[in-house]
Amino acid sequence: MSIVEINAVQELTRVQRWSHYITLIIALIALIAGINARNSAFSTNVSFTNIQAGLLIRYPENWLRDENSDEYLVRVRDMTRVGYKTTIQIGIDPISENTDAWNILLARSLRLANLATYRPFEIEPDVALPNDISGARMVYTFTATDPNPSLESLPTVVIGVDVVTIRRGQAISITFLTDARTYQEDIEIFDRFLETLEFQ
Amino acid sequence: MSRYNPTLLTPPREDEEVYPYRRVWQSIAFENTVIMGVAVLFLIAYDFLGVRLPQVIIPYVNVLIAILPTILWLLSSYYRERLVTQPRQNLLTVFIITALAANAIGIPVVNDLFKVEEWLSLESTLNRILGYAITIGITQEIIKYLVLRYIIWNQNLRTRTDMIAYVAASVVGYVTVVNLHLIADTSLAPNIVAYRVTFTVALHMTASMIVGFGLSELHFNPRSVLLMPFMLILAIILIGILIPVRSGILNAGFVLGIGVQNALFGVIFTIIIMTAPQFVIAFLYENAENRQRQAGSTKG
Repeated sequence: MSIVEINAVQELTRVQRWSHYITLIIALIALIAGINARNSAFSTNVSFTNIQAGLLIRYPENWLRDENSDEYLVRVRDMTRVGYKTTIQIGIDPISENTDAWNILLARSLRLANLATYRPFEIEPDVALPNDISGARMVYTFTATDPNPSLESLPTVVIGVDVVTIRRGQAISITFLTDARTYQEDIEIFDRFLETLEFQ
Repeated sequence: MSRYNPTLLTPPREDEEVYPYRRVWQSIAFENTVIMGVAVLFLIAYDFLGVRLPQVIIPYVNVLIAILPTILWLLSSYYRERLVTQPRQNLLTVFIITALAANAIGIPVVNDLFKVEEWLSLESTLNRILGYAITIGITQEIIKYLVLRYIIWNQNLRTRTDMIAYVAASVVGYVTVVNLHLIADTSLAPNIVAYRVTFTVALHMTASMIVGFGLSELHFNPRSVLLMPFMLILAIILIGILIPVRSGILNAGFVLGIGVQNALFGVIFTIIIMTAPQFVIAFLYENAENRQRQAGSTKG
């Protein structure tokens, strides 16, 4: 059996040098395209208008929207998440003239006390929200367990953020719920959601 | 006095030509066969016979499956390399540097920067192919390309099969890290780990052999500046195709009740992509070697 053996050439030829350059340029372009595709996927939003409540929301594409509940006006969830599904929901309640956002949050905190290991972290009675909206904000935690016992899943620590604002004699509660482990990344979604929220 | 001389009775012995290098394809074929065998074993035991390992030993079995490619490579490739007359240098260096680069760059870029699990799986087929190519594919292949380019390319290449040996070392280094992350981040059954490990090896081996062919040709027969970039694009598109195709084959259809993965089809698909492309790549290497030989003899 014969062997073709060529002594190593240390000096690169022009073809070799340019071939490596082009390879690296293509790799760089592909990586930039990958990051761009990711950013586009994360920032692509779907609009939803509720004429009755006078609300226009923009939520991430591929999230599941639900309006069939008495507990909320509209709820959007990221069903691709493994474990606890990141959720944003909006509820509207009529209020009396003397009720403010702070009262609403306190009442809501009492209701949430039924949740397992519920603990409020901070309540800010007067926060400036995007689009010149003012309201009250509360951050809390609780543990959620998958309702399906056959999955034998461990409880998940959930961080919730409630924002309440008063508009036209109605208390608008915007709730954000997500797994505590991914809170820092997911809160950007909620911030974007609030920034694009429009009252009509 | 006459003396008995056996050389007068038997024809003179022809000196055998000693092949001075380790035969790479044999090692790769042995390693891949064992890995596929383990996957088939788990398929029969777990999915067909319903055998279940005790819960206490499952983590250890998973670790063993995850590092199986490394063990096989060390025994079948690295150890045997030291027994031949002209061993290849820097094999272990390529393995270690690729593993470190995969852990420090590859895995964080794929998991934390691209986060493909969160957005790509819901895209259309074409978007998924392109998406996986420009995220997972390019990250994995450019890391291995850079390791090979700056550690062994040019100075350590004597024959075309050298490149195959270095590509295999690089693949095993990367795959080991991917496998260890798989078992560290999730608690999977050993059969699922075996299927994933086999697929990861097949995917990396196929794609990196294509990139390796480009590097090999660029060293031995540098005639076109576009061959190496083309091979990289081909490799990443192949990754882009294989990942969603496997998901499509493996995923259970819509059923009422609990859906079960099509493990049998998944294993068959993995075996196909672990074997069929290797024959094509081996043919390409052999063909290039023959052309080189013919060109040499024509000049002579």
